[in-house]
Amino acid sequence: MGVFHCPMGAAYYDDEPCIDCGLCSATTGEEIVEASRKIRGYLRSHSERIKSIGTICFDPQINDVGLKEKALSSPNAEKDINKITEQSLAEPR
Amino acid sequence: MSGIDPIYKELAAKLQAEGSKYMPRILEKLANLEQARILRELPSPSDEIAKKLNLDRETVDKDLQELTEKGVVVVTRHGPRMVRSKGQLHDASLGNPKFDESLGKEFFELWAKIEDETVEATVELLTAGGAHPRWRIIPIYKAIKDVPGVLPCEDIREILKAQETLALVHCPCKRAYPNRECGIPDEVCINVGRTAEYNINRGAGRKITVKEAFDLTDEIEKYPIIHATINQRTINMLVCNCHWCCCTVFRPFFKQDKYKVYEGIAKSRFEATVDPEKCIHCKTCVSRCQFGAAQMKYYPEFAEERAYIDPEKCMGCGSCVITCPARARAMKIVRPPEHIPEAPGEAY
Repeated sequence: MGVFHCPMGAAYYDDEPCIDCGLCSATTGEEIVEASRKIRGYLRSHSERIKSIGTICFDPQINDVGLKEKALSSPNAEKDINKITEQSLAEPR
Repeated sequence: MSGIDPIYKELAAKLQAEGSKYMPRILEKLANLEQARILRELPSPSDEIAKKLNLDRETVDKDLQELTEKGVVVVTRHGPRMVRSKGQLHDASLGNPKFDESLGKEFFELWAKIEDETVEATVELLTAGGAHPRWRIIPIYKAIKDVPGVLPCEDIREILKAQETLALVHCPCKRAYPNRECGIPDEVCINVGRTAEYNINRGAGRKITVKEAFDLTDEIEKYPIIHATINQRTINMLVCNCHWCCCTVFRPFFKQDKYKVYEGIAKSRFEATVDPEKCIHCKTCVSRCQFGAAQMKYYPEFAEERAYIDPEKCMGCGSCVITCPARARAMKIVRPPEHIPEAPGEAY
């Protein structure tokens, strides 16, 4: 896959977010699966990193439409959304 | 391939494209012989390369700068390196229009040829993720804005709002097909985060505001586009605006019979619905749908053909919904939040 397809958000290999998973240079299905395994392992062991690279993550609280609208209507909508996201990331799933 | 210097075959092998008929010729267009020799010496530092090739250091740095702008070289944490796959070279070299004139028309034709050369391999890679493909459809905003339960990672406006950097880039896929049937303009690729910064820094992208990104998506939704991104909950690279006729990800599925498109690209959590009572059988939806999901069928109660959705084929893009003049179409959520994995490959 191309430059724009790194799950970690790296623009190219050995860019700052790169964890050398090998996904960008995988040429077989097995290599893709192995690279995906490395990424999942990394994300599990670096939950703080998920927050820092994260922009919008799945959030069960934001699934509540009222809460989402409230957040969006606030003058600090973007900050509020991030706050909600961070709060929910700290909670057990 | 007579007449081409063997060094370009050597460089093609570095991109895992040893057997390609076209990659050496693409590299020949991107790098002159001096630059090709410099590429072969990477990752050695500039001064060592200069000494070995009997060049001055400034010449080597100047060549590396040009190759960076062209997308052949990336400046990593450990210094300049040649990109390491065909896909990386595709996105980076086709994404910068600055060199169009010097690269010439043949450069773009070669990329189109190489895409056809690698259809099966691309499809095999895209389907390797199994139940959770690496790429996912994002529904068109207007089609889902009133649907309760939309998640931020599937709401294009929320995705764009949350980004620190947004850049508008010329879509590399579209540029390989100048006569593409979709007619969608090519400056529609919305990069985010590091990818946006990378393209801004090398002169391939221009920084845009969230409002400009909203305006762009509103404008291009007039065309038969599909929004797509990586299939994970964190959107940290780009929002693609694709059409099957030219997209490097979608097109291969339409050029082979082994896999269906939804085996390699995740549907959105949505599915289009149709109210046949409202349908005026204009067939706009049929012409908009890229996946053959919008169809007509005979309804005995109306004694005529009206719209119908094949749920297996519907990818949940919303393209048919926003263009239905009779408002006979809507979107509904048919998949749980777990449909979108935390990380690529499978559920987290």
